[in-house]
Amino acid sequence: MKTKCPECNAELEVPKDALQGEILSCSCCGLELEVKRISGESVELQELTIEGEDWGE
Amino acid sequence: MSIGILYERSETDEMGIKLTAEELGIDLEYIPFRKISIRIDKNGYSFKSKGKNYSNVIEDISVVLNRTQSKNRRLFATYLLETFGKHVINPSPVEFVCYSKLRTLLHFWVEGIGIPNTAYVPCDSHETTKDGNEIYNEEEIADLIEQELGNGEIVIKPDAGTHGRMVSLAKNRKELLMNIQEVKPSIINPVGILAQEFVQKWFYDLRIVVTKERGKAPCCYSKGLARAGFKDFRTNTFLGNLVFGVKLPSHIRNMAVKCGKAIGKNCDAWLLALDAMIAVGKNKIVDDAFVMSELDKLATPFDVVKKVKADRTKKMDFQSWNKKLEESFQNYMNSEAYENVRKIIEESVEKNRYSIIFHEANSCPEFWEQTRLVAGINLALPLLKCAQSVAESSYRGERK
Repeated sequence: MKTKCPECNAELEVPKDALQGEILSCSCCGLELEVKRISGESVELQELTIEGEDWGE
Repeated sequence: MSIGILYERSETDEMGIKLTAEELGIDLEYIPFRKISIRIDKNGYSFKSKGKNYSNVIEDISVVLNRTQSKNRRLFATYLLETFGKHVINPSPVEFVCYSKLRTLLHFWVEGIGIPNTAYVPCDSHETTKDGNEIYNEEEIADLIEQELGNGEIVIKPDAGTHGRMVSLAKNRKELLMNIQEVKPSIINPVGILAQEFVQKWFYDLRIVVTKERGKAPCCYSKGLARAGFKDFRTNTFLGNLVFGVKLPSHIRNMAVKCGKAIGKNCDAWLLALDAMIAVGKNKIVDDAFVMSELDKLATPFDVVKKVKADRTKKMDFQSWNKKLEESFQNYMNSEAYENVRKIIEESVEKNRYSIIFHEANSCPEFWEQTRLVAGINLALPLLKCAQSVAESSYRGERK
């Protein structure tokens, strides 16, 4: 299944056997995405918020 | 030549920089700095993710805005890029100072800038000997701190912390011992204990923006962001305090420029958000009760702001979300209670301006939501101007 990375717009290949809750990474920018919903050939991804070692300001 | 923007995650600040750059007709190259691999060998360097080679992108840019949020990544990023021949906003000497509260304080102190009374004990609360015995140093550390700061209220801070995390206030020795015990070596506090005498500020503190472009003198914005509340002695907005845009007296702006110069030194271009307090002490101009009641009136409109800020769809439709954010802030700022508190803060700042104390400098400040809309400062503009000022001089062959 194909979709686009919300950060860098690169094409993302989501495996056909991906499960809801699975975490994928965009190979271009490294953004972590969670599979929220799969419906037929379309997939909804949501960006993961990761607890950083420290935050910005 | 385009400008690079290095990021860990594209948050609203980075999206705001992108929007601003588009409005100015500036090309920005986005470069991720987390799941990438930087290789250095006898042939040069490469900069790649699994799916994309960014080496040519890096090669083609002369200046990078460093928007990596993590202090450690930011420091590494600056050193790497400067070694590759790039100008970075902010440059490594600035990042190195801002990383550490103690280093920042030392730079201010040596220039005669007012800072909180500070004591640093380079010893951890708990150590293990080679033969496995445990040593507990809390009592001795507390003795050393009280020797310098007295036994009044003392604040313990992690040297490289942010967002008020792990900052604690001790009202007596028992609490001081407990707080010292909690401090362990970590990424936000590598070694020792940093302690400060509690500053008798009132209900607000200030965030003040200073910047310098290549070829120009450093300057301070005429307005600052006041963070206000009575709930916590830490006034980080991350902890739920309210925000107000206040005019800054010239004395404070001059001191802020002095802070910027103390950190920026010979660097061509930089941008800092300074955190400052005013030791108001007993010089309050109205009763706390009145301020509290006005702040309470602002809870509802500010809850609306917080709800918009927390909207997870913001990155999917940034422009619409941005409009909602602007409307919610406008509603908050249009209220009588906002204007009342803002005037109180401004008057207090003016009256007590010579009691200004600077305690921290932020080299990668958050700005799109509050600083921009409440203090009226879109930091994307000076950031891009700083970048352009060094990029243009590089192009003209003026690089040293």
